[in-house]
Amino acid sequence: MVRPVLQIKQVDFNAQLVDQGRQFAQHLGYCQSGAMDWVSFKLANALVGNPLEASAIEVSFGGIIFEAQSKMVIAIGYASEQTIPQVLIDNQTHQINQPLVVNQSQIIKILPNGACRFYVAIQGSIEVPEVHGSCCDVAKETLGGLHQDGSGLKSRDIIKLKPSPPNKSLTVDNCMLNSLVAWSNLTNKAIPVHFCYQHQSFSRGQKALFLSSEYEVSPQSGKQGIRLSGQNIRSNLTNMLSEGICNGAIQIAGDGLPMILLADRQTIGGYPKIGAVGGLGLARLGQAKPGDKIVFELSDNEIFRQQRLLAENMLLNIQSVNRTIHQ
Amino acid sequence: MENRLFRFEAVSEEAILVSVRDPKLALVERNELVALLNGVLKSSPPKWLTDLVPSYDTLLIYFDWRQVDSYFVINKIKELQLIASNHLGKTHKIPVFYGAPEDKYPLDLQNVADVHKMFQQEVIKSHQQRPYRVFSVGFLPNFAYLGELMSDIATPRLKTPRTYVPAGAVAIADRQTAIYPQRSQGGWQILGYTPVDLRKHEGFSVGDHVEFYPIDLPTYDRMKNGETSAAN
Repeated sequence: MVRPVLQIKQVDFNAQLVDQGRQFAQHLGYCQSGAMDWVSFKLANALVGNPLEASAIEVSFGGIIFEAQSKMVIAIGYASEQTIPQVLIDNQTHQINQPLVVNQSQIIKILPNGACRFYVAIQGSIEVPEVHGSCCDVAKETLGGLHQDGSGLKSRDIIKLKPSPPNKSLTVDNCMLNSLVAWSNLTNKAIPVHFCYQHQSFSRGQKALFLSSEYEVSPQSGKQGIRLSGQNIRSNLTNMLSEGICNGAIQIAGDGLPMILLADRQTIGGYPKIGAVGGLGLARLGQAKPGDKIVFELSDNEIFRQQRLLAENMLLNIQSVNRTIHQ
Repeated sequence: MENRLFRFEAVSEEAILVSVRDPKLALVERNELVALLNGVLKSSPPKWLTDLVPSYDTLLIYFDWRQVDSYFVINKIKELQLIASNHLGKTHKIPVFYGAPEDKYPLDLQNVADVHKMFQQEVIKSHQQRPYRVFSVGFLPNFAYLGELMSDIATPRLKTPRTYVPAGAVAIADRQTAIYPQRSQGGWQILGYTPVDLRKHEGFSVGDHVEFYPIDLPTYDRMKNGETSAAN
């Protein structure tokens, strides 16, 4: 039987359902969508023993208040070491990155304390309609999410769980957890990029300028992409045919300023691209707020893939503690 | 990495870009090669394939980074047997009311006519004169980039894009034309509106063709209302 577990009481700015994103739908023009900070998102799910890419709540640029409608297990995923969100259950402080048992009619309040994004995972499987295999709200397409119009979660919304086996263990391998958080924060100093696409249309001097400049995240940033202000860069391409844009691609529009295209980016575009951010850098960008400073450093696709594989391995280890004990 | 037809590049840890960049080939020929490779992969998708984004002369291939890396994918694509087929893709016949069916709907028909010193009727005649090829699908769900327009009505985008383009707008930009499947922002020059709801219409695929045919306002209203009641 479908079970109501949680009622939204307040959303400061934006809270929406996310998962791994749409499946095989970009050729139809649907954007990829998905969680912005993939490490924090998967960590939240791992901590409650869910599949790593199960539907969870992505809370951005503010806090959230909700009430438990029945007993449930939740975890607040936040893998960054800076500006830690504060979790209050009936005004008692609790930790992030731990499974928390919440009883019926308890009030959960999460204050961002300067954090850009955090994730709320609920043990079990959320009942939500899907667009091409994904629950994601996509505002610009007016599609997806609980209301099926991309508008996100609102006060009085009720989250329900599909029928599931009884609760699992709540043990956490804290060594593995700390190791994942520490390691995934090593990229905080610089955002790794791989030169690709039209990078040959940027002179050696322009590339050096790009790598040595400090950029600021502009307020016109969101899930479609992060706009940067600062040093402009020139491509010698005057026009090009539109082509598919990968997650993390850095396009340089007419004003010469970089824009990093992310989860809700359009599928194709016709501005020259100097390269792409990958791996842990993408998770780091999921925590980039307007006003934050960003510098880039040269990296490589093989390193991005290794980072993902290693993170996945650690996350599966964290998840498996919950999985195995009760089997 | 090169082979005879395609250039391959790893753009991220989960995507490679395949480009047809032979300058001797016309754009339609390059797009036919994209459609061919896209079709082969779509009809028998390998288990590592996660998405495809065909465009004018490129195909972005997404793969599952857990299973394979870009070297593996590039080698697999090079091994594929690309056998040209006579399959021409579907033809979509789309009715258009060349005008603004509602007072608040924006329209650039007169503007386009003025730019080319033509009558509105000549612009309309040119626009519906030939079937257009679907070169790419993107920007919004089921937004098809159609081409190429006769050069006599090719018109640049608006200097400042509109913040509101209604669903169904049929518009042109340079030698391309398209139908807005949903309300959106947009800078293309609007010639008319279709009553067809593209969010319910069968999907466009690269290599398909679109034929526009003119309808009058009563027909537009009838089809539009017919669609609404059918959906309810």
